Amino acid sequence: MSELQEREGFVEEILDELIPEGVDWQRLVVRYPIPSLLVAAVGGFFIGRRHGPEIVGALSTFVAGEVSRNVDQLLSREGE
Amino acid sequence: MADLKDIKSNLEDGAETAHEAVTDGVDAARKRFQKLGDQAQDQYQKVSEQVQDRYKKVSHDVRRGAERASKEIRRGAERARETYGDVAETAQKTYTQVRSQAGNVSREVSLYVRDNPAKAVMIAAGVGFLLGLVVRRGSRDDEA
Repeated sequence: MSELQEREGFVEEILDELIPEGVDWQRLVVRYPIPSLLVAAVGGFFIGRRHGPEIVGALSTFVAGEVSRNVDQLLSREGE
Repeated sequence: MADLKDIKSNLEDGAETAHEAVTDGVDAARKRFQKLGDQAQDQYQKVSEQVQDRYKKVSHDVRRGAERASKEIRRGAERARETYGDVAETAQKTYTQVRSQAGNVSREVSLYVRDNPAKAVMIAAGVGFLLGLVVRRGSRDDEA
């Protein structure tokens, strides 16, 4: 339960950072659910079309770095 | 004098004979003409009857054909009307069903979005992002 809440909090943090401060996006989404989804999908579409490969590259680099960091930690723990 | 009388009587006989011959000839000719006329009339009547019979037969056939065609057309129109009615009814039912289902889906999506706004927005953005990537790749492949 706490993990789920943490994850949702993380997503909300990302959205709060992405969306300007003056916009109460949660109220807008609750009030207009379908248009909000459409706007999000269209935004995602254009981002994916324009900067998709760069974002995928950055994400894969980040994931690979995290994986190697965790593996290093595990190996160093085992070595100790 | 006697000679004159003989001549006169001969002439009278001859005239009478000629008159009889002409009368007979005229009678014979009249009879023949009448016979010919009767034959022609019979022939004409026969031909006329035949023509009338044929006309009646043809007109009967045409009337029967027209009646049959009219029946077929009426039957076809009825069938087309029934088919149109069935198709319209099915289309109406399908439209109502699809509308109801779309309404249900929209309500469920709205509920989910209200419960989890951040997750829903991120999922929508992610789906859009993936679609954008796919479209970009497709357009690149087309250009290549």
